[in-house]
Amino acid sequence: MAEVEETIKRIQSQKGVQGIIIVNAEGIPIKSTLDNSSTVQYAGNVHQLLLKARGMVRDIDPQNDLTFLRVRSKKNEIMIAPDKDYFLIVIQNPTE
Amino acid sequence: MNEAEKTIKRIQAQKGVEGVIVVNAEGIPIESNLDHQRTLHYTYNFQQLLARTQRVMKDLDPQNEASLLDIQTEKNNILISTGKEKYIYTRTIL
Repeated sequence: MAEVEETIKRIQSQKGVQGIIIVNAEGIPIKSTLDNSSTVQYAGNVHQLLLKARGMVRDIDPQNDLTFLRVRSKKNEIMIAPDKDYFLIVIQNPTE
Repeated sequence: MNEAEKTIKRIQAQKGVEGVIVVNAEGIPIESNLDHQRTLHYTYNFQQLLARTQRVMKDLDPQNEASLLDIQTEKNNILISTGKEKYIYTRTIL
């Protein structure tokens, strides 16, 4: 658990990082640096997106798989790193 | 049309770029260097993903919207940019 805390601290110390959320395979956030309501919103929405993206990739090539997803928007950047049992969401303000 | 062609040529000149597809506002691919079937397959799939992404972004913040979707897979990298015309391009990881 200490390793997880350290990793979160390390990511948070990067410039522009607004939030970090760890979500389990069921889409339930288990750790977050954001408030409860934002966390739940991000976790649920991003989970859906992740499943869709992975489905698309597999549809195009069943031997391929999603390794990372990044959504860049006007206001920020959302990075999603999927793993076997969890996925990590990092929201940051991209440095100019 | 010419703008799209120029942009495609520029993107294609990048190392490792495999496919470039330009999709118009109606969701119809208007330019592509991939074969017809692949173009349609990619367009259909990623249109849906892009629509879903935009909905998610609006949900999280009604004033915000996605400008670029970057999908990394084991074999390659697919980038989808939004705007009046959408560009989808795939790149093999070198």
